Amino acid sequence: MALQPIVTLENVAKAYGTFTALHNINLEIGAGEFVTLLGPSGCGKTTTLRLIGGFETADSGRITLAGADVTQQPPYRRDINTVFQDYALFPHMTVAENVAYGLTVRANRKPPEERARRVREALSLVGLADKADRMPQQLSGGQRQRIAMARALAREPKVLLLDEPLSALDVKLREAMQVELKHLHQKLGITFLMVTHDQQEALVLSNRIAVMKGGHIAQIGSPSELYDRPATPYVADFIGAANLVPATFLGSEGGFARIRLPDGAMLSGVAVGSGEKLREGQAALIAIRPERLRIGESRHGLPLTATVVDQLFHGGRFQLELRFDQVETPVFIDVHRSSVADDGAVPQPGSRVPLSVAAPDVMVYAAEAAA
Amino acid sequence: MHKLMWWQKSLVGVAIGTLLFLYIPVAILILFSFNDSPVTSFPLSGFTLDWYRKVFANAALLQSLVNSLIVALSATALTIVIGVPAALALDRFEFIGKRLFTNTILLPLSLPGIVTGIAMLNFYKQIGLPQSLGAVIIGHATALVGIVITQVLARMEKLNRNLAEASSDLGATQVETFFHVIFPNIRSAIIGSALLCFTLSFDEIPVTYFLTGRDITLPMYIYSTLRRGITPEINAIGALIVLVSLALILSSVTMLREKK
Amino acid sequence: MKARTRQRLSFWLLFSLPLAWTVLFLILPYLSMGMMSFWTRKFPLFVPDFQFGNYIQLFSDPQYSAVIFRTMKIAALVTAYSVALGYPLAYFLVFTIRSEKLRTLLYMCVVVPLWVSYLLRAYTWKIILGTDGALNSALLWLGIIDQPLDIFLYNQAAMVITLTYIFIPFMVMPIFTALERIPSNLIEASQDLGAGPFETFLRVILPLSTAGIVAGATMTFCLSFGDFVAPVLVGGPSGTMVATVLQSQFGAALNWPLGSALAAIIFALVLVVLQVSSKIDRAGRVSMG
Repeated sequence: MALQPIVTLENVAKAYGTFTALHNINLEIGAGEFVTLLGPSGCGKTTTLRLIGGFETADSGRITLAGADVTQQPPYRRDINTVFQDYALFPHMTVAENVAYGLTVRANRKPPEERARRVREALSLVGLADKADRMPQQLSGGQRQRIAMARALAREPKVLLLDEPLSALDVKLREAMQVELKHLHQKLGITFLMVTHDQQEALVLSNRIAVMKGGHIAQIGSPSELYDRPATPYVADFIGAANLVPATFLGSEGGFARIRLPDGAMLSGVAVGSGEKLREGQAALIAIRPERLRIGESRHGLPLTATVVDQLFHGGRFQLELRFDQVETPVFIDVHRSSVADDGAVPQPGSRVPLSVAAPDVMVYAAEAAA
Repeated sequence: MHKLMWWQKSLVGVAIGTLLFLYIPVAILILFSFNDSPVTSFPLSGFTLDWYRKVFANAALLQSLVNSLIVALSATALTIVIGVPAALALDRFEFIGKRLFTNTILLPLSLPGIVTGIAMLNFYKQIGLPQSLGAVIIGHATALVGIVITQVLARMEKLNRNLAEASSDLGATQVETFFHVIFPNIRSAIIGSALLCFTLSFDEIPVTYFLTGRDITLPMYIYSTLRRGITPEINAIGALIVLVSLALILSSVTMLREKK
Repeated sequence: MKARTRQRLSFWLLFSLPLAWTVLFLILPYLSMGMMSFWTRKFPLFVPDFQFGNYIQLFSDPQYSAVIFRTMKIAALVTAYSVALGYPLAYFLVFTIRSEKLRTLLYMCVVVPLWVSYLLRAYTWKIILGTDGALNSALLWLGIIDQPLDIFLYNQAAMVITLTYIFIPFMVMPIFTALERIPSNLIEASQDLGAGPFETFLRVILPLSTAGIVAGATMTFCLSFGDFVAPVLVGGPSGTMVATVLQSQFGAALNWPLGSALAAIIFALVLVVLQVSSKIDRAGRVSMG
């Protein structure tokens, strides 16, 4: 990576009693990056964030911040600030007092003029300069979220940690705040490290995403790398939608594989997704993004046949639930209303439809990797 | 773990000191209940169970214990009979003077017991209620009913209102709803507040002092003995009371835990 | 039956007994005590009247005001010591003890003494502080003193120690609850913004636990203000408290009207304390949201 690393984790591990939250994590975050830790609850993403923030101490390994080892340092000695999940605004202080807090602590007391200026700047940065004298509980959820941002940013930290910053907001507000967050990051140029379980949010905001699972980083990369070349079926399933169908691996040449579906269809030239070697005749799993599957025959694509089980109306599009013969798991594809002459042309439940998919858009993995 | 700072160390010191402060006197009480000497002095002079024998041979004392149990049990029963319906009414209905009622019912718990005792003595005499264990029972029930009402009311307020509505939606009458839906949910609040009422009534002095007649309760017996001077017999009673209290607390804690 | 009538019926079914009971056995006694405070004493009878003589006597005779002030002073000292000992204990339980089980156990240890007879808890100090009590004899035995000291018992210090001992759980409980309710992320946020543990305590934890302190202080003050056992057991002549005087007016001195007036003053004082504390408490609650 070309960027100067600002935060590094080297072999960091953390256990709570008998539960291992993190297994020897390695992570390097470049200055100015927007990195997201993504995963379901219990995957270790929050633990990672709390270790960087200093709220937990690693059992082993090393954490550095701007080149200095901070593994054993308490949070109040780290040049990092956090936007907490429930905002953690002090209920006995006004908005301005909350934002000024980090500038009045003994270790970092600023003269009153500078303090007032920075509070003003931080509040106008989040567009709430007029709310300075309110109490936090007089504000809406979205406003509190911004105050939490302003409070952390008033300290001008090198790294801003965001713990599920938007999870408590409703859908509309969340989308608006995503845009603001992205602009804020571009404007300030400091490093953002966010934790979320919302893959959409991660895709929209991040320069890089680390998908976590069971205390490991399953894959780290740019959003498009993760979406187009997921390293495991787990990542494929977690990022975006994926149709996962069991198959049998028949062999490969030059990085492209031949497989057989349970209904007997033979597919060749498909992409090998996982790093590990597949043996001939081994049970495998293929992943196909819904938008890569097309209804109808195509000269270049691989031909498939499935039965329509149900038709789900989504407004601008129909979602078709399909089944391949001999396969229990359903497969979904989208039919946009603009792409068909009229709604009657959308295949009805019960009908058999021909499908096609470009060979490189089918990714094959070892079946046990899914577990 | 970060190292403890001076103020954190002194904090731990004060905390442990306070815990000792709470328990050393009780330990001394128990210790001297086995000491073979009529005065509570160090060094200990020898082990004896005489004081316990004396306790069990003391007819007046045993009678006062029986009186105390009668008073505490009856007063507790009354607080439940009055308190639970009151809590239900307060939870379900809006009416004028509701706040006044809840504030008044709690007064005896904040006011010095002696004020309540005097007020009761004064008025009960005027309405021809003689000083007796009966008057004590009424007095205790009145003074303690606020505990049952507030505890049960707090539980009712936490209870999802939809539960009662779902029950009546499914065809249950109000009485059926109470016994099948409301009661199981407030049972532990009732048991908890009843235990508290029992202990407080068993232990009560100021109200009892003014309302009782010739029959006295155990605390009154101890109180009048103490005014005459110390006898290690009291230590033995004390040790027994501590033991019984602990047994009751432990059993109620385990009982509540099993419920969960 | 109409729904409204049915509603009314079930309301009165539930509420008539509690209401009648409270009026007859609680409200009327308080009112009649208030009325009696205006009566006059014509020995050996008390005559219904409406005059302020009893109140005038209480306020003009320095003997009474001295007792009231002494009682307030003792109650205030008890409250102050209870905060000084109870707050660190509650803080220790909530923030220093990491194990949930140990915390619950120790908290139980604080609360359990409340279940042990209040009279006995006062009495233990009599056997500890007495002239040939545990403390004196232990000091003699250890050779620290060569004569029993009588400075321990029958004075105000003995009262304050005994009352603090009795009522300290009432202080620890609400503070413990208030501290437990402080979300841990507020403490983390404070540290995140650069405040060390002590600064976090002063600026976040202490302000957010004020409501608990106020509740505990109110309880402790009111209870020790009206206490009537400790003065008798360990107080001695200099430890006379309001309750002792009150008791004698209804006993040996046999002046019920004067006693009622004194009780009415205590009643009013306690109501003022409760009112003030609920004001502070409400302010605190608003800030907790």
